[in-house]
Amino acid sequence: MKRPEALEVAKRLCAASDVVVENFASGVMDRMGLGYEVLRALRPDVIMIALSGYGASGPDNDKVSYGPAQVPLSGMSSLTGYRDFPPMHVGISYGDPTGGLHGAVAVLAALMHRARTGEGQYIDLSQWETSIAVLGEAVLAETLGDGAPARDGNRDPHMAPHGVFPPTAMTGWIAVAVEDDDGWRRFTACIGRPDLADDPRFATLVARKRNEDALEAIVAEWTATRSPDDATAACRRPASPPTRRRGTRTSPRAPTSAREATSSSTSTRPSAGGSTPASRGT
Amino acid sequence: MTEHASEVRAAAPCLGADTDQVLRDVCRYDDAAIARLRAGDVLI
Repeated sequence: MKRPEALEVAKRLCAASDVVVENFASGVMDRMGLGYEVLRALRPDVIMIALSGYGASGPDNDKVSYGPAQVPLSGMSSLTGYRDFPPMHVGISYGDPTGGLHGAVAVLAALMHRARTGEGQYIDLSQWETSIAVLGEAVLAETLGDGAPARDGNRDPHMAPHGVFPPTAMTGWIAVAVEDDDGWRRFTACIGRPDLADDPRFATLVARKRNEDALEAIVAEWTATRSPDDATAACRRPASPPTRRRGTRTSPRAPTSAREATSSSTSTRPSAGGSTPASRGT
Repeated sequence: MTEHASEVRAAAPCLGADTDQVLRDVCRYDDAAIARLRAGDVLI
């Protein structure tokens, strides 16, 4: 792209295009002679989107970014991992797909705007910000003064049991998520333990969260004798119907919901349901 | 999804497989100009 002939090819291509997408660090397109003002002179209604790591403005706009840096900077790593253990990467460079998906929606909106007005536009998208945008609950919790959510393995603050458990013969993993008290009652029927439905240690979400180690031991005992497919089939069998159904999300502080929610599925995630690595395989 | 007819029409193109066609049809380069660009290592 540093050769004049190459720049001319790029300009012709941009001039013939509805949308120009670039993923360089901020400022690179300008320095190459392919900035938005140049392209707009070639095609006044061009839509250009820059998917840089940190956006075209702000204190980090001059930094080069790669996905593995965006994950911890977004806060995603601080939410991932086991209690009292260091933050962990989430397995993929999350900023890449979140940046692309947000960018696609932004371009569609720009195309609609152009269809109505004839105007093109420049879209400055920070991939870093798009990674933060998918952490809505965590950002909201901290904004409201609850502090940053703590890492808690595969557990969920609003569901219990919620984890990944080892099946028989290590034929994959079994992920279990029970959303509310009705779901728990149905789950106890699915696993052949209806005696647990009204056990005061587990009857409510607050109780299940308080006794989560014991709860996970029971689930793990059940999964240990089943394949992922068998476990899934058992949980798909009709059990007792929900006694009531509402749309409020359950909170450990105010357990009120009874939304239908027993689910089980297979997983290949190499971890278990507990809150620490030591509880894996329980 | 099962009710939607689908078929594989072509394999995904290799990098640069459509470069000549794009330069010819979209950018309006003729064959001689494309050959000059390629000879000058402007096109990979």
